[in-house]
Formats: sequence, structure tokens, C-alpha cells
Amino acid sequence: MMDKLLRERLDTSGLRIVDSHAHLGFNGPFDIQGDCADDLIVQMDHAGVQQAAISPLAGLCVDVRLGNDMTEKMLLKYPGRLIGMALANPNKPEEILPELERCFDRLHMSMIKIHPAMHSCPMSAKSYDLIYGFANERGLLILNHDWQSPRRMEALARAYPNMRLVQAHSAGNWDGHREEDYFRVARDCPNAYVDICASPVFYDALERLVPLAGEDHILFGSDMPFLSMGFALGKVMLADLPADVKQKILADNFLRALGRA
Amino acid sequence: MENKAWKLYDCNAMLGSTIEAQGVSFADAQAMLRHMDRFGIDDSLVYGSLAKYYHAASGNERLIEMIRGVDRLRPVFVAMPGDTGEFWDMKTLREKICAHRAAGIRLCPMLLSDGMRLESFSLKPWCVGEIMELADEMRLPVFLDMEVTHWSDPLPWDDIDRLCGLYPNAPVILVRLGCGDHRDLFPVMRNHGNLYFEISYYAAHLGLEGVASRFGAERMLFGTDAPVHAPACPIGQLYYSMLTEEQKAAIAGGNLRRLIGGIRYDG
Repeated sequence: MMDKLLRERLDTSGLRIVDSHAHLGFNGPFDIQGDCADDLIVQMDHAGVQQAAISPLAGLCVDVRLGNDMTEKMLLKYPGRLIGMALANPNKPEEILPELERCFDRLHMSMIKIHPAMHSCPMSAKSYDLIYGFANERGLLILNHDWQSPRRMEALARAYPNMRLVQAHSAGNWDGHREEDYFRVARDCPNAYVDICASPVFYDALERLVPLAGEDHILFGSDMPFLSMGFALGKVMLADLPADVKQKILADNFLRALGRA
Repeated sequence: MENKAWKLYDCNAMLGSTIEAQGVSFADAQAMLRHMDRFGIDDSLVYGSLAKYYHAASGNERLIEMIRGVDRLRPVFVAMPGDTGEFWDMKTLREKICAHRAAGIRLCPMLLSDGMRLESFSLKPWCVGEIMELADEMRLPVFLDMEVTHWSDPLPWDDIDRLCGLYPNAPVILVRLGCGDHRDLFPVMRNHGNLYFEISYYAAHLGLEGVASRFGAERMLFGTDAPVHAPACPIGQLYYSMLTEEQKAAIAGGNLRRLIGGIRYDG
């Protein structure tokens, strides 16, 4: 019966699922339902997602230090369920290293988030060099909303071989046809990745993406609570891909990039 | 998760070849049916690609031929104001709706041109009033397609509010509603019981649950926007939501079947 087959394909039991791209807190420009904190865990439990990496929306749009504190509070409240993304303000270079040191030495963070759009600081700013140096020294992953140039991403990946770089969204809202150089960078650089976190999502795009970016360099992300966890999860669960490739995308690639595989 | 049968009824799918700048296209009914079987979709309303992007009247005629004899597919006619003579007059539109048991009309007042949304016709009553009067009389679903490409695209909420208020018996269904519209959507839904939306792009965190808690689950319809967009996403959002199984079944197909069952064909 078709309905039974569909439910079997959506069954997440037995799978490792780690959301590489989620958030914490509310958003000014539009309403998000729920408390955007505890309900993340409720949604994860309901869908069968073991962990989620979170960056604080308050830190992305207003106050970096406050945002990092909010993340820490959640990490302590839900040990083992959340992965903390540290933020640093690229508009204040003198604060970057002290805040990153605080995040990783005292606040239990595991990776770095950069958002040039929300921080209104283009990727050409020199202040980001401080973040790259820190990440390379400590072997960290940086999730960037947009590196703003595949060439830049590739150059950084090669210049900082101990750092892992993720280009968010480009693999998620790809239309299935246009040339996208981020995919080549992910395929060719061992420390470069793309995540599939996005709306809108185009028909058969994920299936076409795998040979372009490489099955070992694609990361599942939901953008929860900006977007629905289930909306993103369905994209992978119902994709016409082998089960082992889906498992890589759902968790294993990200865990390896984090150094936890 | 509980095992309870849904019967997915897609209210938003396109049939006919396109240039496939995004996604794919279904050249014939068999391709559409294969896609539906792939995703466990029982039935689908379909509109014609030619009707939307080329010429509504001839595109609708082509659609009729493409789905003749295919029980799982039901037509939605792309419609537009008739003053220019490029589309059927209202008498002809009514006759064709009844003859072919069309399950709705699709208004496309915005179209993409060179990456920009351009207004094709107004949604003011002086422009679409005749069509809306027909829909109101027939209780015919009206799919409003504003060519949304991103959740940040603005929608004409004043027009939507006005149309819902002036034509309360016409179910008005927003196509490709995104996650960023609650502040406008909720008051309009509160004021007008005939406003619905399809969930193909409604990727809002706890959105289905939030709407259901305020207005019930009866005003959300399962849609995919196939074959441009991925059906897997709205299926996943519905499946992994924290709605009850009854609510999920309503959104999956029950609500659409109820609306179609209320259409008054043949006067």
C-alpha cells in the first residue's frame, strides 16, 4: 500500500541525524511560532534528531556576547543534544579573539558561525583573518552563511588546511541546473563542505547535487527555527539516493568535519 | 509515529513541458502519475504550464486533452479578466468548468520576467470582480498564485483581505505562502473564514501547529508545486509535525476533498 511505503521511507528510527545548521531564539523581521528554545528539543525528539548545532539569533542581529551566553545556557540545559556555534563580531576586531577564547575555553562551544549579511560586514573585511587564524590553530569548523565567492572559499580552504569551511544554503536552494562553483570547491577540497539548508527546494536537486559536490561533503541542515525541521528532513529521507549516502548527509559528514567521527 | 492512513491530494501541481530553468517538467499525464506514485500521492489537481506561461485559454484546452480519461488528475483552469478578449468570457468559463468538472481556477496576477515579479493584472474588484462573482456563486476554489520565489516576497494583503471579504463563498487559496507572513496572515485568516493556503512552501517552524491551534487544521491544504519544487519537503513537514493524525489527514487531503465536494456545478 502506497501510504505504508511512504511512512517506511520517512521512518528515522535507527538513523544518526545531526542537524548542522540551526538557530536559537526569536527573529525580528518575522514571527516564529513557539519559544524557539526548549521547543527545538521537543521537535528534535519528535522527528528522531539526536543533535543540532545552534547559533543564537540574538547574537547574529544585535549582541554577540549576549547571544553566546544564551547558547551556553542551552548547552548546559541539554547536555549532549546541542552543539554550540560561537559568534564573534567582525565589526570589532579588538573583541574577536577574547570572545572566541571565552567561547571555547569557558562556554563549551564546538564551532564558529559567520554571517556577513546579518553582521553587515562583507567577507572582504580583514578582521575575518583573526577568526580564520583562531579556527586553524584549534582545528575548528566555520559555518558561513555565505563566503561570497567560491574562489575565496577555495583559497581559504587551502591557506588554512586545519580549518573546515562550510558554505551554507547554496546546496539547498540550488535549482538543479545552474553552474555552482561552491560544489566544485566542496568536491575538490578535503576541508570544504556545502549544506543543504534552504527554502525553496527544487525537484530532484539533491539527487543531482551528490555527484557534483561529492557524497562526503554534503551536510544536512534545517535552519530551524527559521524553517521547519520536518521540511528539511523530508528532503533527505525521500531523496532517491542510497541509504549509505543519506546517512552520510544526515550526520556522518558533519561529525567527521567536527572531528567527532 | 502512529500508523494511520493519509490520502495525499496535491492541490498544486503543473502539467506540461517547460524550459526547465528550475526543477523538472512533466510532458504528459503518465509522467505525472509516475511522480505521484514515487511520492505516495493519490490524486492531484493540475494546471497547465502552457496556460500559465503562454496563453490561458489555449493552455487550458491543451490540459483538458492531456488528462482526458485520467481519473487521478483533475483540472484547475488558469483564469484572467475577460475584457481584453484573450480569455473566455464568463459564460464560457462557467460552461467549461462544469463540462470538465474543474476543481478550481488559478489567478496569476504576477509573473516572473527576467528575474523580476511583474504585475500581469490587478486583484482589485474592478478587474477580477466578474471572475470572483462566478467563483463565489459556484463555491469554486480560487488559487492565488503571486509567483512567490522567496518567503520575503511581499504579498498584496490589502487585495487578499478585500477579495475574501467581498466574495465570502469563494475559497481563496494562497499558493506558495512562505514562512514570513504570519503577522499579516493571521489577522486576515481571523477575519475571513474563506482564506486557505497550500503548504508547498510553508516551511515555518511549528507553523502548521500554530495555525491549527488558532484556526483549526481545516484551512491548510497539501500542495507540492511539483515539478518545479520538491514534494519531499511539504510531505516531511506534515509527517514530522506534532499535529494529531486526524489533523494531518485533513491537511493531506481531507480539506481539499471537502472543498471540491462543495462546488456547485450546473447552477
